[in-house]
Amino acid sequence: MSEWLASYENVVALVLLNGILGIAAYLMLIVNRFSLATGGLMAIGAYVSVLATMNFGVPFALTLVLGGVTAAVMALLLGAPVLRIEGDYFALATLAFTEIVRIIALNWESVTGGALGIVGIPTETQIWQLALALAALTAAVFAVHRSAAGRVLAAIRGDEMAAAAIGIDVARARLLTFVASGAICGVAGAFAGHLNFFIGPSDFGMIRSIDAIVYAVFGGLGGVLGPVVGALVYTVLPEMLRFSAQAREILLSLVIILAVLFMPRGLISLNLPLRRWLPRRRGQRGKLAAGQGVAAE
Amino acid sequence: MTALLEISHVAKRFNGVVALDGVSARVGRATITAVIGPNGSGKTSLLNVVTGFYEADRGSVRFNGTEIAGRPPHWIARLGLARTFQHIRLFEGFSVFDNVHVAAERRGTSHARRRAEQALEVVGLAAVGRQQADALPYGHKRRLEIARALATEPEILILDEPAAGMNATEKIELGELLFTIRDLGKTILLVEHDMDLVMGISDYVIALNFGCTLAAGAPAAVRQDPQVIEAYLGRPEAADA
Repeated sequence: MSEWLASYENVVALVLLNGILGIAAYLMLIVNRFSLATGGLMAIGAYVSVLATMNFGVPFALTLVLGGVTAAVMALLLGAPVLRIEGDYFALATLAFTEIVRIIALNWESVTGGALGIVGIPTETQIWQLALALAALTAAVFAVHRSAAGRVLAAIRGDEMAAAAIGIDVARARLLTFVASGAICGVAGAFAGHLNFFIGPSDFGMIRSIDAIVYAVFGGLGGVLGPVVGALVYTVLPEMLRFSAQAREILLSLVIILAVLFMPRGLISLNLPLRRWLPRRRGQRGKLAAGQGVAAE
Repeated sequence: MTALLEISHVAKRFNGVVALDGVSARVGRATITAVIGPNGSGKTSLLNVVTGFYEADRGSVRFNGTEIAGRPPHWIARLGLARTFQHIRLFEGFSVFDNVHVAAERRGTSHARRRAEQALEVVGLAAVGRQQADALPYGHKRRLEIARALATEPEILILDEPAAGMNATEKIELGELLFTIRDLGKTILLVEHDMDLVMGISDYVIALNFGCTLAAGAPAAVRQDPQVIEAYLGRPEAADA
């Protein structure tokens, strides 16, 4: 067991980390918003926490909090003006945000090390910490789903106008969700920053944002286990396809296309024993349409 | 009659098309007021302005003396104005009970379940609470929308064509339901095409045409109003030509 874990440690860590990112993307998708900010918010969490470790010797646990809080504040500043506009523009604005963060990280050499990144980071992140964080996050989102706040989110997903008509402040609920999603991305970034010895601008680009959406849509938006299962399969699959480096991307994309065609409600819609752990409400075909566009790319 | 809702000189344009051209109306407490008019006369636009879904270009809407024009829909809903929609908008994937429960929770989570059950009882859907709302027959979906609105404990219930798509029996039952709701002390403002229903249940009728108020008053008086007759049937000369 321990040998197996040692040889696959990096894959296990990635599965857990991607599960966390998948949940961050899932939270925005269930309030009908397509956020491409995941990569940018994660970068902010990573750089802030790594710089706190390297320059000020801040304890690791505290750098996680710092990363989460900074990314949450950024989400608030970005979301407050942008979430009021129509859905498509929100996607574009978050895309621009992630790009801007990457370009700043690339060019602000005195702080971020530019293209060379930051090296010699103490590898504080442990598998058990990631597992604990993912478990706690999953449990928290599950609890939210069953609460009055969860019913508000489900109502917004069900029909925004009707939600407003019963007194739900849709814009505020979305903004709070985006801030929560930002905090999760920030903590994930802090973990990712301390996972290897190195971080660089290309670690947190647009592909991170798109991958996170793929985990959520591929796994299914019917419950919080969807993105976790999606992250597991979509992270392990490339490892299994290593036999053919060239065909790997094509095979992966094919899997995604087939998945959205034949499992529009995601992997968790398969009749697995997992299913009874999901909330009563399951994902709907129409609501996934936005996700399918990117997943099929 | 003290007006619960007072609409004054409300105007709304869409890219040069006049939807409302200075409409004024008063809705009395614990009455049933109907807004009638031909297609495109501005009825739904008026409801959308009152409930905050459209922002009026000018004019004022006062509810209990509070200016609500230009406020967002959720704010207006919390003040005590609840509405239904012309095209039914239920929460997708929710059970009948959950649709009403989430609305009842807007007035606090304590006893929300009981208040949701009461709202379902008023509309006669208490027995099917566990069913998926999507699976309800059409007339019941309309009733469910009314129950959801009632669960927010509004002072005024605003209904956009509640009888649309209903058969004759369902319309009669709807009329009885609206009387029941009014007798609970609620005020009802509705837009409706079905003249028999409107004339049968309304205390007050407002007729609109081309975004203007044509006539307002008791149902019998509005029905006899020459301008209203003309708007619905056309001018006699025009028919001859």
